[in-house]
This record gives sequence, C-alpha cells and structure tokens, in this order.
Amino acid sequence: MDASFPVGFPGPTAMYLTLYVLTLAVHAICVTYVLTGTGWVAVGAVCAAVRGDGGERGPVAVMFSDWLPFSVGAAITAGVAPLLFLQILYREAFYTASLLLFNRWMAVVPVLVIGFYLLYAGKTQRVRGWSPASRAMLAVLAWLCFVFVAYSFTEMHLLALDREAWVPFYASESLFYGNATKLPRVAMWLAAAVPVAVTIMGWQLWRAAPDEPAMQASSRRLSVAGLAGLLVAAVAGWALRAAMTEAGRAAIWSPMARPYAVLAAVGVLCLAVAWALMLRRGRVSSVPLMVATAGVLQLVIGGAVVREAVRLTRLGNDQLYALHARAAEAGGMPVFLFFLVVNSAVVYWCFRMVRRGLGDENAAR
Amino acid sequence: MLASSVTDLAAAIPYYPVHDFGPATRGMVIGGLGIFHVFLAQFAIGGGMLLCYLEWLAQSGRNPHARRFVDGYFQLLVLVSFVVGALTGVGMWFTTIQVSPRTIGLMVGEFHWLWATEWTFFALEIISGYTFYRYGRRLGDRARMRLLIVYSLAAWGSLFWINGILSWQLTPGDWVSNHNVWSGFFNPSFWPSLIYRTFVAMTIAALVACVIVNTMRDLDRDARAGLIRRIAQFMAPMALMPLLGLWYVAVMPADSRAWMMGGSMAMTMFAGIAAGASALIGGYALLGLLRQHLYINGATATLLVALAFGATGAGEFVREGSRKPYTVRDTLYANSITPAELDQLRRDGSVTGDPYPVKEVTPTPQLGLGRKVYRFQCSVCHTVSGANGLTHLTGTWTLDQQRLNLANLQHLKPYMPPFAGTAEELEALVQWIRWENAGRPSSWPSGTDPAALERARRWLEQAGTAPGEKG
Repeated sequence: MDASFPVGFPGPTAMYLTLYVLTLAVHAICVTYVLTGTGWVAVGAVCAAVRGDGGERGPVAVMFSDWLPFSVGAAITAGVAPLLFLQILYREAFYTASLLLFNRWMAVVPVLVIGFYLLYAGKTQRVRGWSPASRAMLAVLAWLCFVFVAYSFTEMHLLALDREAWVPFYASESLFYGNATKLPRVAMWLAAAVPVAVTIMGWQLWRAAPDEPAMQASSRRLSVAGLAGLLVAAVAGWALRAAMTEAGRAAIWSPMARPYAVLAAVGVLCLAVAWALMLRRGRVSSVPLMVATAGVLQLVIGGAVVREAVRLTRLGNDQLYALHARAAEAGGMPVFLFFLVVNSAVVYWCFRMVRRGLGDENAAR
Repeated sequence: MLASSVTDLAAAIPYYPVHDFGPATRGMVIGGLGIFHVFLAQFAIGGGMLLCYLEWLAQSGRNPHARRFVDGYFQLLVLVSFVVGALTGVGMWFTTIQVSPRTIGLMVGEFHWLWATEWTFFALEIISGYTFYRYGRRLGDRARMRLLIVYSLAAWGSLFWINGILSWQLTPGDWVSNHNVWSGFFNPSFWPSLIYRTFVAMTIAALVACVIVNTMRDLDRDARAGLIRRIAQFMAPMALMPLLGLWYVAVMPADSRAWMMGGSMAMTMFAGIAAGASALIGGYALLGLLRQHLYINGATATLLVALAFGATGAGEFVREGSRKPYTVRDTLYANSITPAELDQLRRDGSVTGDPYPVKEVTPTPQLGLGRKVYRFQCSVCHTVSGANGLTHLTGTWTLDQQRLNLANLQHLKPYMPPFAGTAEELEALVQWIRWENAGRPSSWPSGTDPAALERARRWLEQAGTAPGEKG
C-alpha cells in the first residue's frame, strides 16, 4: 500500500476502517480511564494498608472512585460500535480467534460484572469502614479484573493476526496463546493508558479547585504519573518492536502508517511537554491541559491506525475488500447517520439541561 | 439492497473451530445467557416507562410517595440492569459467535447500519440513565421528567431496532426474494413481536416494582398499598396479550406453527408453560390487583417475578426453536449451511475442506471422519450422549435404519436440515455413532461395504436436498 491510511483502500474498506478507528479511539480513551483509575485507587489503597493508616484518600483517588462505575459503563457502551465494525472488517479472523479463545470469552463477561460491582462496592459506606488491608484487597481485585479483560483482548487480537497458528492452537487445546509480542504489548498499552487517563483527570481536577493545596499535591502526582507512564510505554514499545517480525516492523513505517506513526510520536511529545510544564508549575492549568489533550487525540488515533496497518499487512487482501464492498451495499446508512446526529443532539441537550438545573440549585443555595 | 448476499454465502464455505460443551448443546449455552439478558433488558425498558408514570404521579400530587420510590427504584435499575443487563448484552455477541459465527456474520452483514442505529439509542439510554442516577435528586421537576422520558424512549428505541433484526430470523418476509433491508426489518412478525415485548417489559417492571415497594419499610401499609395499586395499572395491557400471541402465531410460517401446536412435544410444552405462566400473572394482576384491589406482599410479588422469568425463558425457547431447521428462514440452516450449498457438499463432502483436526483418538480414520461430520453438521443442536444426544436418539436403530434415517433427515423430522455430505460421510457418521453407542471400544471394523454405500447413495438421492415438507 503506497498511500496513506485510508486513502489507498477501496471506498467501502476505507469507510469501515475509518469508522472502526474513530469508534475504537473513543472506546480506548474510556478504557484508559478505567485501567488507570482502578490502578491508581489500588496503589493508593495498598500504600495505605502498608502504612497501616485508614486516613483520607487524595482528591484524585476520590474522583477516580466516584467516576469509575460510570466510565466502565461508558467503556462498554463505546465498545459496542467498534465490535460491530470489526466483524465487518475482519469477520473470519475475528470469529476464529474468538472461538479459539472461547474459554476467555466466557470468562470476560463474569469478570467484568465482578469488576463493575467491586467498583460500586468500593463507594459504599460499609466498605469505607473496612480495615485498610481489606479495602486494598478489594481495590486490587477490581484492578485485576480489568487488566484480565485487557490482557484477553490483546491475546485475542494477536491470535486473530496469526492465521498459521489457528489449526495448531485448536489441536493443542491450550488455554493461552503464546506470542513473543504479547507481554510487551500489554505493558505498553497499560503504561500508555496512564498519560491519557491523567489528562482527563487533570481536567476534572482543574474544574474542581486547582489552587487548593491538596489539589496542587495531586497535580504533582498526576504529572509524575503521566511522565512515568510515557517513559514506561516507550521502553515497552521498544521491546515490542524488537519482538515483532520484520514484516510487522516494516508495517509501522510503511507509507500507509508513517504519517500516523509520526502523529502518535508528536502526541507523545505534546504529552511530555505539557505534563513536564505542569510538574514544574506544581498545578494543573488550562493551556498545558489543552496541549496534553491534543497529544492524547494524536496518540490514540495515531496508535490505532498503526495497529490497523500491522493487521492489514497480515490479513488484508482483495477477497476481504470484496466482502467490505458487499457489506456496503446493505441499506440503512442514512438512518444511522440521522439518528447519530439526533441522539447526539439529545445527549447534548440532556447535559445542558442538567448543567442549568445544577446551576439553579447552586443559585438557590 | 443486497441482492448477492445469499449466493455469496455459497461462494466459499467458511470452516470455524468448534468446541464441545460436554453434556450441554451450544444452543443451551446461548439460551441460558439469552433468557437472562432478555429478562433484564425488558426490565430496563419497562422500568423507564414505569418511572415516567410514577414521576408524573408524584409531580401532579396524585401519590406523595411516588417520588421516593422513583429514586430508590432507579438505583436498582442502574445496579442490576445497567451492569448485568449491559454486560450480558455484550456477552450475547460473544456467545452467538461461539454458537454460530456464520449466523451472526450474516446478521451483521445485512443489518449493521440498523445495529449501529440501535447502538445510538443504547448509548443515549445509558447516558440519560446515568445522568438521572447521578443528578436526578438535585434537579427540578421539569428536568427530572424530561430526563426520564429521554431514558424511557431511548430504551424502547433500542428494543424497536433489535426486535426487527431478531424477528427477521424467523419471518424474513419479502427479504428472501428482494434482499431489501427494510423488507427484512419490517417483516411479518415485527409488529406483534414489538408490541408483545413492550407489554412484557411493562409487566416485568411492575412486578419488580411490587417487590421493591414491599421493601420500603418506612412506609405504612396504606401508603404501600396505594403505590401498588398505581403500579398494578401498568400490568393492564396484559389483557391484550392473548390477542397479540394469536397474531404472532398467525404470522409464523405454517411449519413453525405446527411444531408449537403439537408437532414437537418439547415446543408444545414450552409454549404451554409460557402461556400458562403469563395467564397466571395476568389473572392475578387483572382480577386480584386491578379489580379486587388486593394487596400483594413481597413473597407473592417475588413468586410472580419468578413466574415471569419462567414465561420469558419458555417464550424465548419457543421463539428460537420455531426457526428450525433454519437459523435464518429459507437462507441458513441451523448448522450454518445454506440450502444453495447442499448440492456442492453432497458432491464434494461436507468436511473435505475443514482444516481443524478431530481431537479425539479413534481406532480408524473412518470414525475420525464420522466425528468430524458430527462436529460440522450436528453439534450445534446435539451432543454425543448428553442433552439431545445422538446416542440416545439413534441407539436403538438398526444399522440400515441409521443409514436410511440419516439420509432422509429432513423427511424423518421436518425440523431437521437435510444431510449435507457424501455417502461415505454418511457411512462414517453411522459407524461413529455405533462406536460411541458401543462404549468406544479400542478396535472397530471399517464399514466400507460397497453395497451399503450404494444404498446410502441411493437414499440420499431419493431424499433430495430440499427441506422436508408435509404431504
């Protein structure tokens, strides 16, 4: 493919790929919040247990705990759309990998339910009265639930790419798919999730009260976490690249993916500069946060396209593109676009109505 | 329009890895999760409508306790329906892939834009619901009511879209000939199914509400009775359910209707359970709660919720079962083979191109082939010796009877698809079933009697590849 993504593909393939990447980006941003948020709460709870104190949690941990159940719901809801387009784009590979790892699929739903309820439980007064060790165990368990889901999706993605492994894997009756890139890939995603999630949290902190002393201490922690996440992600990314095949490495820098690889790199740079600046200032502020947000969008979209480029190098062929062309003949797209606009407008209207309602409440106070 | 979709299905037969769920059929796996999901989803849909009604009662001063109920009920709705309901919905995707990737692939291929439309409603439902959950208590009457209406409409909208896709599987209507997405969506069973499900959703929500009212111990009995009387009004549409049931049955394909009306004992029994349980709930609601103004305590309400769950489960079993031998009527058989592929598979063999090896060790290659044929053609609905087990169903047949019956599957039982392989594959399947029936001995003679193969070939030819029909 000599053209940049998605230009070089036939129209229907380009359309589905674009829809997939955009919806995946939204899903991924929600997922980063869940993974990092549960991790943050777990680390805080473990530290409290080690210190033996049951004292107050920091504002970041409190805010994460407050918003995590909603963000899990948002991540799941946002995950439905890319799951739909994924089935059109890579039907055989996706279904085969799902079937080969069926044990994992059957486990993912109950694990997510458990993780979800643990997050709700963590917000209750009863659990707040538990010993620090018990609270830490609950927080770690919730985090592990979501890490398990992330790990399972990664493994499934890798197996879907490895057509030659399908039959031997089926015959082996193995529960896990071994691949040299699996662990560095999981490590890279988990680490890269941190700067994305702390940027969202940065905005939440900024809206709350950025100048309070407790908030400033939290800002510094967020900055350190964001920068550390970038560093670890870079190291894991280097290890991942080293573990990839020659073709996979070439795909990252192919004409199809190159602009997006650069975009992702620029995104990393934006994030690094923004969080370094906020670390130096000791507080979150709007301009660096805007730069960090731009970095998040570049990193997520760039990363998603590079991931797709590697996949298309393995799976893309004329037969697949012909299937996309046939799928594009299905009716109903105008209806989808119409309700996408209408329902998005209704969502905006709901938010505006609530903001006004809360404004009235504050004014009444 | 997708005029080429069915013929495209025949262009290349995809082989997917198949897993054995032990004594459970693959259909039972999806059925178990599906019933649970449908029940919770309908609870969420009816719950939205009920909350709108109760919020209106509160705001118009008709019931002073309704508002407290709304806030408490919504907590439950979020904790149960949003969490488990949403996740089992995602689980349904995964499970459907496990059961029949080709079916879900066809559905996604034909209806992905409508599915994406449904997703916009689902997203709106979740967002408006969470917004109410988080801020509802702090908002004024108007904003509360508007949020609840948005939530309720979005939840029902989600049902509207998914109902068209699911009902298409049984009654694809004109879609079979024109492949127009709207012909498929607004198929003959669309409206009866949609209205029926809407009433079921209202009933489930009202029954769960009756349980919750009984947990509100800070209200005295009169206050609780007042709330229950209002909530019971939500079950009044149940009076129309028999008519809707008849409408649904009337638009079903004649053969599917026949399975329900005695053609298949299991189907008839489950249809009877669904109708009986619904009649009990409806009778209690209409005569006891609405006419006699009886009080319903927590235990009775819980029992009625359990009955509603049973009715939902039995109804879903009938809905799924009545599609047989198809998973998409006239388009795709339950074993993921299209009618158009049958001739090719009869000629070339059904598992010739299946790359996935048989995991079990068998004494002869023929038995391995038989196992492979079972895996490809039978295992979606049958197990070896568990639920709907082949050894139970065919164990008493004589050797030639097994050959004859398997060759004539669609005529033996019209809800079975035609056998889709060569005479050699049929013989291999017969030998493998006999080997399983014999307790898997370590040695087994090779069944390659030329005369038997010739008979099998003749029987297959006589049976043809058309689906079984009466007459």
